[in-house]
Amino acid sequence: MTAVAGPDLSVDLAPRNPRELRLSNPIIAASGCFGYGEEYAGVIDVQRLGAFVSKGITPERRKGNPMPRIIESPAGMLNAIGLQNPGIHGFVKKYPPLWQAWTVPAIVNISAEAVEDYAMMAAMLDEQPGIAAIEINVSCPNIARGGYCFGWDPEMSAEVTRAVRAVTTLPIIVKLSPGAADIVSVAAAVEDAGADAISLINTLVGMAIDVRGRKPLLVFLAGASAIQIGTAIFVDPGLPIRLVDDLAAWLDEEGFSSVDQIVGIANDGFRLGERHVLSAWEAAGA
Amino acid sequence: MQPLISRTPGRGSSREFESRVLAVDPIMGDAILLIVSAPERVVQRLQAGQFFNIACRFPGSFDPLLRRPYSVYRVDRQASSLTFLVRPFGRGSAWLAERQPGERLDMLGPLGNAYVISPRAQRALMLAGGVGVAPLVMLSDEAAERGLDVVFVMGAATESGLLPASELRGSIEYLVATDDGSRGHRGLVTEVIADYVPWADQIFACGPEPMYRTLRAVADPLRINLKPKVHISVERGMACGLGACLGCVVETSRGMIASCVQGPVFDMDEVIM
Repeated sequence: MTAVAGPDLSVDLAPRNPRELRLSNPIIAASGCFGYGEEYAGVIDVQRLGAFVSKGITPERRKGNPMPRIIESPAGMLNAIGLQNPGIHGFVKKYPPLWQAWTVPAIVNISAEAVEDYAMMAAMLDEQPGIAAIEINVSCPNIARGGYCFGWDPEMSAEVTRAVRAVTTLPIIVKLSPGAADIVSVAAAVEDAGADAISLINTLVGMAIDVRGRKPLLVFLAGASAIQIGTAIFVDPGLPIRLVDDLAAWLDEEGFSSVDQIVGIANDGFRLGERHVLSAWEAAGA
Repeated sequence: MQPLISRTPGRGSSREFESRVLAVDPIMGDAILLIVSAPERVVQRLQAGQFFNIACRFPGSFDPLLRRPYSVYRVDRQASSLTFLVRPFGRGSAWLAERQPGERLDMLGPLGNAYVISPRAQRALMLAGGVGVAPLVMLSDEAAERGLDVVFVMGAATESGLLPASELRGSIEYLVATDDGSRGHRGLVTEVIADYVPWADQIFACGPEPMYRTLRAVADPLRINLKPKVHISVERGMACGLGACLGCVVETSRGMIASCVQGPVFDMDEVIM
């Protein structure tokens, strides 16, 4: 069921990009947790998501890590999949033609160990139909810099972003690394380098992921335009679609007509009445 | 392989459903048979070797987080019910083994591929290790119904861990082995199968990985041109069960394969172990 007369859930994650990244709602299935979309097609209505992000694609095909790849922790999991993927060439043959017939925007996550490889992949993706945006995974070792992680350094992250920006007009999302000493300066650097959006954050190193439900609402209030759902999809595949419905219902109850109206309002206490703040906290189960 | 894409691309009917515990019967020492309801669409298309990812926690809890894969022990298509064999072992199985009739379970499935009995096969050898017996019970039901001669060999640590003969169809020849010799052959199941390997048209096995290594060592010298074919079910811990996370791969001659979608049943000859 789609809320026809309900609040406007649509968001544009790339308002300054002429190609836009207009999503019908702000709920996105995160990279690595949703395969290439087709895996979940028999379980949920994939087309109702705001968007989904593919598994990380690399310049060459990757076998991934040996088993075990997943260890359960209390109420969470650790993973070490190792970017198993068919490589950019195998990828473009298979998935863009499939996604072209879909209405849900498909975002491709790219990972590489050299700036020119990121650019090579972005240039290939730019020519493909069925792709809405590129998400750059900067949590990769930069071979030219002794394996230092791109995402830990503002200039290296910006260099990757510039190289990708130079070869594509597709909207670019940079997925920031939690290992950065100063993540704010990395965010500013990639924005200057041409990123349309940032996503926060890649998997924490060696730490369990909290999947306890309805915090997303708070994330919007804090300024996010959209949220990505990760590990929780594995155990509760229906969750992202329920979030879309819950978000619409909450906005409706609180008298908002669009998601845009709540993005960032926690930082602007004057626009948001106390009642709304409390309601959001309660709805978020906080 | 189970088709994952519904007719309209990316717009599927849900394979996640709620089922109700219908009965719990003790079996094989500390294990239970958990009989649960399932939608008709689920039981009608179910094949032996397929499994369900069961959330082993109360609603609202996230611990233990990951669903646990259980292959189906038996299906009752008239009653629209499924039976699972559950031995309390880890946190998930211990929770599941405590469920009572009337309680609800969050199920995802059926998942994975299946054991396939060749239309030309007349003789099947089945080899079960411990609770790995589950999918072979369902498979042996099917084989017996199709009129195959079935030799079913099961191994367990001790007599109490063996499947009662009454759980198998009367036409099936049932042989057992126990580590302590409390019943049947004293030793490994693989030590009693030599005569049956050349006899069988197909071999089906389910058990721990060391059993498969021994099976390969015993069977391969007796097989001619890699016949009879051997199909094994490979157990892996997993997260999504849908081929999305790639956390449950099996290394094969075709590469790293997601055991939840292109498995759990593999041709033994292509598995690297």
